[in-house]
Amino acid sequence: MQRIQWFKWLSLVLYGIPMLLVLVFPFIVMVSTSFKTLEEVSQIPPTFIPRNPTLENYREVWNIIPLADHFRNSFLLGVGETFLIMVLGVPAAYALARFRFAGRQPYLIFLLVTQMFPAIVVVLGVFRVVVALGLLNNLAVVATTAASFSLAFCIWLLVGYFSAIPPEIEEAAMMDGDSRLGAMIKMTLPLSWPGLVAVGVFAFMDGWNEFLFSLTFISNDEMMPLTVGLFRFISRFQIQWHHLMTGSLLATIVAVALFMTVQDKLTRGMLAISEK
Amino acid sequence: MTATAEVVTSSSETASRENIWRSIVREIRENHFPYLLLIPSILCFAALVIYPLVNTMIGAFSKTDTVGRAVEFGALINFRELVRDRYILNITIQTVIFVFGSVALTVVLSLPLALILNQRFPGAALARALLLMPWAAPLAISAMTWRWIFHDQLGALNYVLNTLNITQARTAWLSDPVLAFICVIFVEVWSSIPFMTIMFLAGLQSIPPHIYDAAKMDGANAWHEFWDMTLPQLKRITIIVTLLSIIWAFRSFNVIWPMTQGNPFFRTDNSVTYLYKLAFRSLAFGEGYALAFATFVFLLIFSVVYTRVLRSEEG
Repeated sequence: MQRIQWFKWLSLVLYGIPMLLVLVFPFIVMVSTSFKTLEEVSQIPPTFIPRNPTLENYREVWNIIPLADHFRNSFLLGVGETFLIMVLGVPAAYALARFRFAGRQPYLIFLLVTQMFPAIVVVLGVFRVVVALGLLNNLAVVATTAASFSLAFCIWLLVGYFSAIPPEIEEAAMMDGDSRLGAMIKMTLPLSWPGLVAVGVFAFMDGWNEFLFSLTFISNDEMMPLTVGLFRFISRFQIQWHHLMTGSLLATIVAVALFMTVQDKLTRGMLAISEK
Repeated sequence: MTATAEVVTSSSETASRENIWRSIVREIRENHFPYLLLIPSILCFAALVIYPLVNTMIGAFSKTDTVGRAVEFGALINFRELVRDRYILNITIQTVIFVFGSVALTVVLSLPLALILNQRFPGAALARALLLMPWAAPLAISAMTWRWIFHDQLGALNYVLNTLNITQARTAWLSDPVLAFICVIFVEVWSSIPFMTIMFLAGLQSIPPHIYDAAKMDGANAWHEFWDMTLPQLKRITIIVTLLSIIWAFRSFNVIWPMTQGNPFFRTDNSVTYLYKLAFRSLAFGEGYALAFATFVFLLIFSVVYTRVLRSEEG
C-alpha cells in the first residue's frame, strides 16, 4: 500500500503536472503577452513575466481591430447555430430515441457517414451557389452551413439524453389525455433539460470557434467573427503580438467559461455515444 | 437485345418498384409521427450535406471552369491531373503521417494522464478543468498563439529552452520543413489530448470495482491488474475514440492554416489545406473536387474496415 502511494505521487509530479503545464502553456503566454508593451514584446531575449505590466492593450485593441464587431459576429454565429441545432436536432433526436421505425437504422448510419468528409467538401460544394445568390458576407449562411455540419453529432448526443428518460412517464401523461406531442413537451423536454442545455452550449461554442466557413464566405472586416478577424490581422500587418494576444485571450475566456459550465454533462453524453 | 426481353424486365422492375413504394407509403402512413419529426433535419442535410457532396462528385468527374462549374461530364481528366500534380505524393504522405502519427501519440500520452487523473489527490477538480482548456478554446486562435510561441527571436519556446540551457540556438521552428511539420503534429496532439483523456477517464470510472477484488485475493500486482483487467475494459471505448479521432484528424484545417498555411514549400500541408489552396488560390476546382472525392472514399472504406476488424476481434 505504501508503495502504491509513493508511485502515485511520483507519476503525478513527473508526468501529470508537466503535461498539464504544456496543455495550459498557450493560455499562460496569452496572459503574459497581453500585459506587455510593444517595446517589451519586441525585445530580445523575451521576458516571461512582464516587467512593466500595462492594461493599455486592453484599451487600445478595440480601436486597432474592429474587435467589438468581431465579438458581435461570433456571438451571432453562436446564437444562430444553437437555434438551428435545437430546431432541427431536437425533433429528429426525439424520433430516433422514442420510436422504432423502418427508416431509423439507415438514418443513424447516414448520420455517421456525414462525419466522414471534411468541411471543405461542403465549402466547395456550396461556394458557387453562395456566390451566385450574392450571399457572401452573410452571417446567416455561415451559421447555417456550420450548423448542418455539426448537426449529426448533436443529434447523436441528444438521442443519448432522450433515451435516458423512461418512456413510461410519457405513457402516463398520455393516459391522462395528453397527445403524444403534448406528452413530449410536458414530460420529456423538461426532464432532459440539462442535456438540452449541454448540447445548446456545445452548438454555441461550435459557432463561436468556427473558422473555415467564415474564412471562405466572409471577406468584409465588419462581418468577420473573432477567429477570422484575428487571423486576418496577423496576415495583413506587421504582426502586433501584444494586441493579437489580448484579443485572443478575450475570445478564449468566453469559450472556456461556457464550456466549464456544461463539461460534465457533455462528456457523459459523449461517453454514451461511444458505448453504442 | 430483343425488345420483348426489355419489356419483361422493365415491367417486372416497375412491379417490384411499385411494391417497394407501396410498402414505404404504408410504413409512413402507419408510423407517420417519427417521420414528421425527421423532416426538418432531412431538409437541412439534403440542402447542405447531400447537395454539396453530389456537386463535388459530379465536379470530380467533369471538366470544370474557373468558378467551379461542371462543363462536361464523364471525364477522368481531374484524376489524371491530380496524379500528375507534383505535390500530391508529398501531400498524401504528409496527410497519412499527420493523421496516424498524431492519433497514435495522442493515445500514448492520454492513457497515462487518464490513469493519473483517476486517482484521488488534492486539486483534482482544478486539474480536470485545466485539462479541458485546449478543447474548449477556439482552435484557430490557439494555433495562432502556438505560432507566436514558436517565433524564432521573440517566442516563448526558444526562451524556455535557452533559459533551461537545453540549447542556446534561436531555432526557427516554422521555417524548417521538418521542424514545422513536427510542430503542426505537436499542436494537433495538444488539441486532441483533452477529448481522448476525458473519454479514457470516463471509461476508467465506469469499470465496476469488484472485478479487482478477486485479483487482489490472488495477490496480483499493480501491473497485472492494469494489463489484464483495466486495459481489456477500455478496449471498446478505445476503438470508438480512435476512430473518431482519425476521422477528425483527417478533417483538420484549423491547426495547420493559422500556423503555417502549409508553408514552407507545401511541406506542412495536409489534404484539406491543399484542397483549399487548389480551389481558392489556383482556381483548380476540378482537381480539388477529385481530391475531395478521393479523401471521402478513403475515409468511408477505412471506417468500415476498421470497425469490422475490431468488432470481429472483440468476438
